[in-house]
Amino acid sequence: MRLRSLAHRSRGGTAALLVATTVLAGQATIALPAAAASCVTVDIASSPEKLVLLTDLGKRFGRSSAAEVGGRCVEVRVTKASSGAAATLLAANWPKPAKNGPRPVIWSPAASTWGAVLDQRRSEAGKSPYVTTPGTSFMLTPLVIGMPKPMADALGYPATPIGFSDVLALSQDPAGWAGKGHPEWGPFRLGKTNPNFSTSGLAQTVAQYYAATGKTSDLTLEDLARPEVDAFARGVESAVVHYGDTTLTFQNNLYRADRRGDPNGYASAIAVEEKSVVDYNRGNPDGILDPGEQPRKPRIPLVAIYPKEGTLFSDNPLIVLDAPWVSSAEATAARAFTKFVTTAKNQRRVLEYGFRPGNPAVAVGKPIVAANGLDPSQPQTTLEVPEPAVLAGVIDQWNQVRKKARVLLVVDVSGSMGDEADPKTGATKLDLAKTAAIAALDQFQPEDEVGLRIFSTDISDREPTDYRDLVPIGPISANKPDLQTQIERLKPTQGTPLYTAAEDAYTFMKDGFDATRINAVVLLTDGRNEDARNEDLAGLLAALRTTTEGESTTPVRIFTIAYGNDADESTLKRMAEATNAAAYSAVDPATIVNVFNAVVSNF
Amino acid sequence: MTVAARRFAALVVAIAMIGAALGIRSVMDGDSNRSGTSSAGPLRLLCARELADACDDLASRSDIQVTVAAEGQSVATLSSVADTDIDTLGYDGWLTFDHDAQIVRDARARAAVRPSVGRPSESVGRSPLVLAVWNDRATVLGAACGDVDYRCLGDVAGTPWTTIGGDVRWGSVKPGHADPADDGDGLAVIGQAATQYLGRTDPSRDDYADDTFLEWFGRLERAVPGGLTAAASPFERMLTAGPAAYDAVGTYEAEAGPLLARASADRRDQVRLLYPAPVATLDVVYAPISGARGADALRDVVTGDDGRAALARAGWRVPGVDAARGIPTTPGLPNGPELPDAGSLVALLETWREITG
Repeated sequence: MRLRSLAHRSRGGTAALLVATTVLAGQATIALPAAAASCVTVDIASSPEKLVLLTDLGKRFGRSSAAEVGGRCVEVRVTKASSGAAATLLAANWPKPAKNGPRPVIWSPAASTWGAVLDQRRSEAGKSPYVTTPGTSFMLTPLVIGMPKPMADALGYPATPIGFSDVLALSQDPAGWAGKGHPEWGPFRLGKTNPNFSTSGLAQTVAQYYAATGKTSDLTLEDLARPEVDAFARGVESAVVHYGDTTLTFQNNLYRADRRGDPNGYASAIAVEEKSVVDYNRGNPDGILDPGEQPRKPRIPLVAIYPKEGTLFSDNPLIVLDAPWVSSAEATAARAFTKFVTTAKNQRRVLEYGFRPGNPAVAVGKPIVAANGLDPSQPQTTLEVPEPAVLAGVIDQWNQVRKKARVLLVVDVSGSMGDEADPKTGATKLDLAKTAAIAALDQFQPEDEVGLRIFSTDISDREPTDYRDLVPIGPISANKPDLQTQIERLKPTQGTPLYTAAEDAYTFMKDGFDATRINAVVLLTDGRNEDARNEDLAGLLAALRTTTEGESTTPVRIFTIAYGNDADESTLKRMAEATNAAAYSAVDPATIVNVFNAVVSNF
Repeated sequence: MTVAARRFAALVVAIAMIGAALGIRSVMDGDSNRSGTSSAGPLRLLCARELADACDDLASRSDIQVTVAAEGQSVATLSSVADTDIDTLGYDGWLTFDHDAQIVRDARARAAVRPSVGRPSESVGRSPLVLAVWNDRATVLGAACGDVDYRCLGDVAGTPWTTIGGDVRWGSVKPGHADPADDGDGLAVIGQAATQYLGRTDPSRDDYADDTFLEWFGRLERAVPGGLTAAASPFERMLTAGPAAYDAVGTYEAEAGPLLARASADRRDQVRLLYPAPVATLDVVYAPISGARGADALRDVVTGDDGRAALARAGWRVPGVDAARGIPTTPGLPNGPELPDAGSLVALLETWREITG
């Protein structure tokens, strides 16, 4: 038995991410062979950005002599679980392993503070802690401001120290880049994730409030309430392109814009982890190479701005859970794996993946070098993680000041939506989608404007015949009851005029564009275009791109949800990418609630 | 077979069984003489976290069962355990620091209850307290203060580096040390800081209540960054996260020396270890658990050659035993720890708690 307490050496930092609780439960398991019956299996729930690395290390461990406990072999299985989602599941004793993935022996969130969040939640629920032994931080990566190099140069990079305050002030400057001698770049556009979902989004928002107060520590609730701080925050949020649950959306969109020859048109700066800048500059913006995918370096690389005010680290702990499902043999095997990954040899592998080693015996070197837009000698200082109550205040304030949204929900009610999706309950795909859509309405803020449109062939006997507006766009504070009622009444009807529905929704939103808001279409469909009158996909994509490339002054984004096995994922992805948005997949209808939450995190 | 023959066979079997039993007993007796065992099973050692490497090393060479715990936790448990429950603690002895053992003994004496730990051994290993500072920061601090020590750090802690000639990107001056409420080295470090500021090693509770001291100590301690979690110690964080984590960390040589020796050249060459004067030390002692059957046997192991060698391998200075890599022979160590006594440290810890909330 090893007695160790969580709180030691970490005064003031506990429960730091307490309020980032409504997080995605998106799970995806890396397919590995089933564990041999005689082996001890160590299941790891890993935050997404290190999934590939941990899977690689797990395989290497399995082949090593270290993978042995009490004469039994050890096998490591890695499952993806965002930090917040895993914390939520662990707080509830990780229910439904068949759906949520295997119960982990090791939990590796992005930052150790999630461990404190988990045990605080469990404590509040009268449950015993799961993080009785602090995790081993096996690698680090700091939060940076990723910026296309020409833009960073325009701010004096690398000679001039640049901070959140500089970047955020620029985001509020009506002259935008013209004030820096580059009117061709238009307004300053900021990409940041939703702090309710994303660790980097929360870190960026904390940094934003520090910048607004001029502090680097001791942020208080009184600070947040100051009018000038509120005004600063609103100004910053007004420059946001859109939000989202993961920074990878921004990186992918930026990369595509770069391939089109317009890297400066999508976002001027994105708050990401340093490791993501490595991936981007390698030509692998999401950090995962699909089979057959070849990395191609971007024309214009990103550089990492290490904010002069300081930043926050993701310290990637390996936490061996003190949970009832973890056997003594599994815990021993987990510690052996932890020891394995912290050896100098494997820490060099960590470095190859773009993380900073957690073992000081391994120097920070390639790829964290100037040639990749990075500076291994930075950052030079950190921002203090606020106390839990202040952190809660940051989230609350963000919910108030974030850029408002104007969203049209476009739902496919074609006949196939009536197919059974859950054999146990007999629920159809449309039933599940209705439940998810109604639940997602709660994520909007009262000032957000939301409308509902349905589409199916000849759904209306008047022009336009293929779609019908059930709830006009309006403030959700007033629209919500109507939206709920109309969604509940949805029934499957005819075919799927996908292209017409998409184009008309896009045009409709474009015509009513509101520059103070994120203007977007959320398009859910379970099928492919079944409209003989309009089969011109190329024309549709061209139309979408024409008004998106170079970021027109009225950008409208189409976030797509491919629902069920028959959805035309490829086409939906191309539509989303054409508008610099993101495509989501709910091939398994049971995941639609999580997917809807992810989509709405963009607003 | 005849009756006589059967009796003879039975006699042979009986003799053989007796012989086997004697043989097994002999083996068992031989086992019980191995280091770290007693007739009641393995010896049970409670071990301070700072001494975990030495304890694990010792356990790997004997049958000692080791429990590693934060000193704050052990001190609390051993100070408050009911008289009747001392026997059920599950330990035979405690490898700790002299001030922590004394804090426990004082607490129980004040409460007029039976001691939970017996008289501690003489020091079996020592380690001077060190201040690890990034070279560029040390240069600026030296120019600003003269000596780079806790008095200097407390004077400038939390203020922007630019006010004393540092780089704007360094932010504000960030000292660091282990949590005094949890770790023996953390308590020793704030003890050394206080003695340096006050100019003597016997400060009293009244000294800590002095406004000037409180202002200085508060500035020093409130500047220690929060929000750094995970199992790593502040010095490990300093090496892995770089100067972003801390500008200077108060720790002990047994941790810093070997870690720095193993660190990559880029880190090793950027950090210097200072021994703020007067040199103070963490002194390792063995404290027997009152009434524990294995207490004396465990003392023999822990303070004997095996225990001393394990401590030396873990970076502790042990007279007559070769030092570990990264442990220098200088500076020489003072006769005593040069820290406030146990009662004074408890008072300082209370002050620290009030300051840091």
